[in-house]
Amino acid sequence: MASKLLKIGSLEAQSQIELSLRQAFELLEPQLRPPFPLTIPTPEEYLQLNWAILYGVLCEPHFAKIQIKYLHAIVTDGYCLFVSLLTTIVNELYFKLVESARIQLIWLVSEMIYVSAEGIDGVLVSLLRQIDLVHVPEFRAVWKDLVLNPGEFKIQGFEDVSQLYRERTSSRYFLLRITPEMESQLRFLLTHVKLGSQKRHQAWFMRKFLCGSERETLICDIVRFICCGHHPSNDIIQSDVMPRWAVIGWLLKSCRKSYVEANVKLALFYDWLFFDERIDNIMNIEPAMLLMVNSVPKYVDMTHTLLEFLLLLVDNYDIERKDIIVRGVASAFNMLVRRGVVGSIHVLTSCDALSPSLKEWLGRFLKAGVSKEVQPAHLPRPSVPSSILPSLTTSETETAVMGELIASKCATNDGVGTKAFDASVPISVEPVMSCSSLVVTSESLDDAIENWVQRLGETVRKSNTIDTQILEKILLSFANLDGHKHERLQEMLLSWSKQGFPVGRCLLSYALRLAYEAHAGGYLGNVMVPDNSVKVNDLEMPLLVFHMDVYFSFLNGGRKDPPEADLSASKMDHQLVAKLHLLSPF
Amino acid sequence: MHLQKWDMVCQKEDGALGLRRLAPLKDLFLENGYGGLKWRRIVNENSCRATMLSLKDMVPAAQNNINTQFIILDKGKMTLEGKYKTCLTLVADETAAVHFQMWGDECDAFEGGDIIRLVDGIFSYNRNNLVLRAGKKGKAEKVGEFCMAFVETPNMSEIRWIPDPSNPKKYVQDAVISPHSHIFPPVP
Repeated sequence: MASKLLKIGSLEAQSQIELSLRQAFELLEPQLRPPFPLTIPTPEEYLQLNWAILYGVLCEPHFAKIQIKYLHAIVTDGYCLFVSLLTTIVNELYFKLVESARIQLIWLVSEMIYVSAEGIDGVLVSLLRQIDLVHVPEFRAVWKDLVLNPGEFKIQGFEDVSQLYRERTSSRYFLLRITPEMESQLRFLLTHVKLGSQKRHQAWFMRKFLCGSERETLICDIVRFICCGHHPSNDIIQSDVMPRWAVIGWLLKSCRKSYVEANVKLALFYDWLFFDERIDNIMNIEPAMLLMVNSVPKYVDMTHTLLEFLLLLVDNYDIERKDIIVRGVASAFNMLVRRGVVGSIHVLTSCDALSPSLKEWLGRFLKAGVSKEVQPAHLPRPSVPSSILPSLTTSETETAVMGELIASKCATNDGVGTKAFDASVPISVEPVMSCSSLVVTSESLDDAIENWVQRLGETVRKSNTIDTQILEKILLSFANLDGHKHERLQEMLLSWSKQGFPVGRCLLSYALRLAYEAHAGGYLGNVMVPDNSVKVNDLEMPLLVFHMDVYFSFLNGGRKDPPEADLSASKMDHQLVAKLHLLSPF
Repeated sequence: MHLQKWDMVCQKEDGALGLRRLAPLKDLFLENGYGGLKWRRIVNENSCRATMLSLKDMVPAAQNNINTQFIILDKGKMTLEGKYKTCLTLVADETAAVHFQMWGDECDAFEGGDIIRLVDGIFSYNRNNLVLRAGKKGKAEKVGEFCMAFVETPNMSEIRWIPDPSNPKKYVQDAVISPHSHIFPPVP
């Protein structure tokens, strides 16, 4: 039987949805003509009537207005059921609907908007997925206004496109950019197809969705979907199923036009540019990194072109807001290394196959990214300085020490934790040994230390070697700050050194002890402490007392140290400090 | 589902599919006021799942007894057999691959990547080639696209079969002629 609703190819099985709708319609057809019965339908009859009316409206335009009135008369669920049926039709059958049924469907949607049907927004989203939005002139205009004329939107607080950059995109939006059919095929590819036997599926996908010149532009949307809309489970990641980076590599290779290729690369790296660890998912940036790293052995050209593109993006994507982008990309690199997505950045920075100029560029960027972070001007100052509770998260601090971290990881690329740990020590110790000759008077250092102390707590809560390195940094800064104010620390460090103890390790022990005391005292956010109510048990926490006194002296600007500082500093137990290396786990 | 086969399909003996007689169930559903809707859904789901045979379990026989579902991997050249078009294809499911002979309109309607449900198909020798086909009594319909995993080995058409010594009416596997299709080699 020929379908009134769908274009069905020859030898194509009929749609179950259509079958159900049609059968309901055939069963209830007499009821869909006036005069309408006045009886209240049972729940089952209600369900059937909804099916039947939907079929009637789609297939019989001339009766549609009458039938929809009947629906309005019987509706008891806020059109919930009817709208859910509409959603199913749009998602699964839209591309097969005959023209007249499509027109009816759109009319139905407007009718449902008119009555504020429950869930109609979902239908609209589904409908939008059936279009390519950029080509609609209205949407193009919106984008132009976004970039050039943000005031146009008259939304309070919206002043610059950078606010949008930083806004996390809802995953629902990525689905919007591709059709449901494309989505299900991509998800299948990334869940069931094994790496090594993916060629046929790739060819089918290509033939169906990407043949034809204009359709190539879809690849951008697909890549964004893969990065942000499809996050595989650990089981899948560890299996031999095709990984996301491999799919993206294939898509990238299949771009024939260079501008499409450039857009695809932008899509791939877009989440790096404004990456913020606090809200963004590492899975969004993982594919680009893995594609670069995994391409090194066989397809180093790919690595090269991607890396080059990324660094170009950093410099040129939005020159006026470059600082945001530098921070984003640096933070992305940092997190990928720290979370173990790649063993170390070493694989790129010392890859023989990559051109020296590119490596040098990357190195320069990483350094620049770091110094940008450290410059206090870029660090927001806490408005209530008396609070030792951290008001900021770790991301910036960790980015700040990223340089050292990378350096240390690079120094030992064997991946063994303890070695990497050791390797980090000399980097930090060197300035300690020569601290007396250092001239440190800069105001900015005070600010930096203040910020480090502020964020100490957050950081310590994450067990990571970075934490101890941050502590080291704080200690180093104290030691360097001012010769006579911190004599004791310097003395301590020098005596360790003279006695032949490994200074770096002792320093770490010291830092760990400090962190422990801070934890016990509840200053790391583990216990809520009202501002200014600092209660320290001097006997149990000698190190913390010492440092807190110094900290408060910072906050009081140029003021003289409060007398307590000297007092508690004097209580610092020489013996304890001297013994620290014995207590340490090394 | 072809109703004239009902008695055969519902037998619980060897080779039959052990489907429940659905008529009593149908009455139950209609009485309960569910109408045809859910009822038909149950029938359709059952007719697909219960009768589905894995390709690796096919045995050549001169009967239209194959109910299965597979994805088309590759299509050969169309040729004319009398006035009808035919076309040899490579198809597969998660367990095995086989050569499927398309006939008539099937040759134009089905493409690589299409998922086909075959009802009452026949797996037998046709001009010395061991192929699966719908035959005159069977029916092949497209039910989907793309979303099906498959293997390309073993290929059931590339197996040598001999009569079962204990039951000459049945075939048993004798040897593997080729692990993959010799007509449609795997994509490198």
